[in-house]
Order: sequence, then structure tokens, then C-alpha cells
Amino acid sequence: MLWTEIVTAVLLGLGILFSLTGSLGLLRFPDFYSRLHAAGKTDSLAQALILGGLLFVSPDWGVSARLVLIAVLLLFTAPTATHAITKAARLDGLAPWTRLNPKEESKEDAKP
Amino acid sequence: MYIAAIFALLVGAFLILIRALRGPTPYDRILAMNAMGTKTVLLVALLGFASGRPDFLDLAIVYTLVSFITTIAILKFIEKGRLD
Amino acid sequence: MSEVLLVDSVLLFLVTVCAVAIIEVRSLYAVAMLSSVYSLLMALVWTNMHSMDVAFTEAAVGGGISTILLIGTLVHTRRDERPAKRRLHIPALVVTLLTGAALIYGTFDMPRFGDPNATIHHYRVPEMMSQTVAAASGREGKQQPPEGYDPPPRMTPTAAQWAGAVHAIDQAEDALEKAQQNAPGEAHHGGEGEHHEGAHKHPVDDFNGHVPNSVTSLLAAYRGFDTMFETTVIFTAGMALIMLLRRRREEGEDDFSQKGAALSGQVILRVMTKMFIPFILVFGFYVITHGEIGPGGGFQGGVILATAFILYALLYGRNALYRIIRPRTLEILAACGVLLYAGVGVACMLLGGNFLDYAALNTASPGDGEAMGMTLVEYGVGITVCTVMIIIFNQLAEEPSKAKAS
Repeated sequence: MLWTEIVTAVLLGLGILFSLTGSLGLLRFPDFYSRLHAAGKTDSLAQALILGGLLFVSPDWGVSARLVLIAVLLLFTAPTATHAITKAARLDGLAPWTRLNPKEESKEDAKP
Repeated sequence: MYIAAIFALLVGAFLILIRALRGPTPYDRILAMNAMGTKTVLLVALLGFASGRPDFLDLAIVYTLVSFITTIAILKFIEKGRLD
Repeated sequence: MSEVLLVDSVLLFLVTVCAVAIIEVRSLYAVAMLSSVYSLLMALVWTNMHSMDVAFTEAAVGGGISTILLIGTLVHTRRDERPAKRRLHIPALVVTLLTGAALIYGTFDMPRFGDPNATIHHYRVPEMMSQTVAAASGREGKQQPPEGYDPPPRMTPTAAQWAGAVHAIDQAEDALEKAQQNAPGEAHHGGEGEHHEGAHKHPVDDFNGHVPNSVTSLLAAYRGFDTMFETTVIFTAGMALIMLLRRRREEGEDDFSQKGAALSGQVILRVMTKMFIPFILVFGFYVITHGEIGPGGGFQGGVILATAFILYALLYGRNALYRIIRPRTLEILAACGVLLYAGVGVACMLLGGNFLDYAALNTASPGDGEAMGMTLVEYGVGITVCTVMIIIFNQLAEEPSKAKAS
């Protein structure tokens, strides 16, 4: 195999490793704020790795430019959206999970 | 190579979907929706490369914008109770 | 089991889970969010089948606008669904099962997915490919029927019929040229004699011109009337929503009377979104204009343009949006979009062709005339779709009655 495909395979592998562990964390963490860490951080890194990996096998420069554009867009929007969600939850008064209070804070869908 | 990555991302999408169904607070669901949007962007890019047609990347750009806008809309609704 | 089928099965399983959840979950916020997830998954299904324009439209319309409008309706209704009485309705169940079984039975007659011998690939598509892609680039068309395939005689004109039709047009053009040369003065129609590389005379059945994206060419040229009336339908929907939902104006009220709510406390959100909105607008215009060459088109681009304005309204409040673009302007622009589409058709008639026969726009090279006509009508569609989406958003976000103060 060409060295480009090996580099792509390695980067893709790393990317999906982060993505999978992030999704697993999103499912298993006990509290909204910890799930936020899992979903927000791992997604931002995984998309950079995967799209960067695809850069090495792109056929021409137009496709590469688009890949870089998508990566930059995701780099801007994903953390902004995560911040907005966190701020909304905090303003709403959602309390974090502590070891003293192991029952999951369940503010049911009883919103405005 | 692409197929393995696509399947891994689909498994991740399934896990996120479970969280979207289960999540007790509405913020969990918003988080799941946002994460699903990012996974979809990656899936579209990988599907495009797997089928040899990189034209799919325009669609990925649209997805990025769409998931961002939907997140903002639902957040505004939950915070203010209205959309305008 | 091919890869496409495997990915398709997994995606359809996820879609089913999502759909069942939408029915079962009682909280209406969750339903809105799950429907957005459903749209994303469906768009992935379309992408897997390589139908890019459909996936584009599903992403823009289903994932973006539909979710926002669903949330807009949540403003007007309750928070939770009323619990329905779980009674099994036997006749309805029987009818549904029978219809589903009939539909599935009907799919057995269809060709297999991706079958190169399917009828669709032998009637219309090879001609389009050889006319459009080859004509535009001077190369052989991408798709040819497999060797040894004989199309049924009534479906395709034979080579002799094609040649005869082209010959008749050649003769008519020669006669026209002679008549023009005999007429005194007047600038000679310069484009008559020379053709750029790959151009062809306008055969009887060429509706597509030099447009590589066959979906757009089908929508805008081969089925141009359909698309025109679809645009009219969208315009009518916007007007109907205005008639149904708009409040009656009291005395002394104008557009700015209702106080909207702005997300003004969120600095990061405001700054980042301010950076995006120009990009979204440019991208929307790119999708409309580029719709002939790649996936895209008028509908998708119009929806993307509308989401830029809706994002601005979400961030800064309705009064800020009304300061940028008044509701009256939106209504006028919606009508202008349909007018542009029909106007292009009338212009073609005035230039000597039929209604919506874009080849009349550029008689020197009919293929380029087709492309220009398609671009113009796509802009008409884009303008109408964009303004109607903003109108619908405004109507849904408006306060329903005087009793509910802001």
C-alpha cells in the first residue's frame, strides 16, 4: 500500500477510537455535565483526525479545500454549541452529580 | 478501510440514539442531537470517499450548518419559551 | 451482501428505532428533537444510495427548517401529548397490513438496485449523458448501453430518425442564412457559422443542453412546467399561512409592536454566529448557482438562505430581523420569484420558441441557452423558497393572540 493510505488508515483508526469512546461515555456517564465532556470534546478531536486523514487520499485540491473547510467549520460550531447547551443548563439550575448525592438529577421534561 | 470506519461510526450513532431516547433531562437530548449531527457529517464524508465520489462534501457542509442552527433554535425555545 | 446493503440495513434499523420512539415518547420537545435525528438518518440513507440531490434537500429542509418550524408550533401548544387510549382498531390494522403487503409485492417487479440493464438506463439517460457531458466537454458520454442491448423500437428514435431530424434543421438553418445574406445590411449573426468545440445542432429531443447535473436538467428543463407549478404551490402555502395565522393589527400597531426576545446575554454565541451568517448566505447562493454542475439547485439553496435569516432572528429577536427586511418586502419578493420563472418562459416565447423552451434564449448555441435558462429559473425558485420559509417562520413565531403578552 502507498504510504498515504497507511497514514490515512492510522488517522481514521485514531479518529473512530475517540468517537466510539465518546459515544460510550455519552451513554454511561451518570450526569449531564460529565456526558457533556464525553460528547463535546471527543467529537471535536475525532472529526479533526478523520477529516485530516481523508486529506491524504483526496483526489484533487478542490476536495482537499472542502475537507479543510468542513474541519474548520466543525471546529467553530461544535464547541460553540456545547457551550450554549451548558450555559442553558446552568442557567436553568441543573445541579451536578456528586458522590454525596448519587441519585441522578432527574429534572424531567417539566420545562417552561 | 472505509467500511470499518463507517460501521464504527454507525455503532456510535446507535449509542447516541439510545441516549436521545433515554436522557432524562431535555439537555441530554439536545446534546445527543448535536453529537448525532457531527457523526452524520463524518459519515457523509466517509461514504463519499468509499464510493469514489467526493461531491458529497457539499452535503457535509450543509449538515454542519443545519445541526448548529437546530441546536440554537431549540436552546432559544427552552430558555425563552418563544422563537422570535 | 454488498456493502451498500449492509450499511443500508443498519441505517434502516436506526430509522425504525427513531420512528417508534417518536410515536411513543410523550414529551413534545423530545419529539421535535427526535424528528431532527430522524431527518439526519434518512439523509444518510439517501447518501448511501448515492442520490445526492435528495439527500441535500432532506438535510436542508427536513433537518433544518422542519425542526425549527416544529419547535415554532410547540410555542402554541401544550408541553405533553395527551395520553391516548390504547385501543387496537382492527379494521385499520387490517387495511394497513394489506396495503403494505401490496406495496412490497409491487417492488418485486422492479429491477434490482443498481442494475445496469434497467430500463431507466437505456431510454433517457444515455442520450442525456451523450448530449450533455459529451457536448460540454467534447468527450464521449459516460454511460453507454451495454453491447447487444436492443431497445424496443417504439421507445427510442432510430439513428435514421435522428439524422433525418437533424438534417431538416440543418436545411432550415441554411435557408435562413441565405435569406439573411440576401437581406441588405444588418450585422451577420456571428455565431451561426462557428461552433465552439463540442457544440451540436439542436436535435429534436434535446432538452438538456450543456448541463452536467442530469437531475437539475430534468427538473428545470424536461419537466419545467412541474417545477413552475411547484414553486407556485410553495408561494400559495406561504400566503395561506399568512391568511390563517396573522393577527389583526390594532390601531397604531406596526411591524415593531411585538417585543421579541433576543439571546443577548450569550456573548460567545452572538459573536460566533455573526461570523457565520455571511458564509451561510454565500453558500446558499453557491448551491443555487452550482446546482447545474453538482448536487444542489434552487430549492436547497433557497432553504439555506432562509436559515441564515432565521438564525439572525433567533439570535437578535424579531425586531432586528424586521429592521433588515420588512414583511412587505418578503411578500413582494416571494411573488417576484414565481414571476421570474414564468417570465423566463414568456421571454422564450417572445424570442421565438415555445413557453419555457430555453434554447430560444441563445440561438447560436442552444445548449448554452438551456443552461442560462435553467440558471435563471433556479434563481426564481430560490428566491420564492427563501422568502416563503422566512414568512412561515415569522408567522409561527408571532404571538397567537392579544391575551398572551410577551
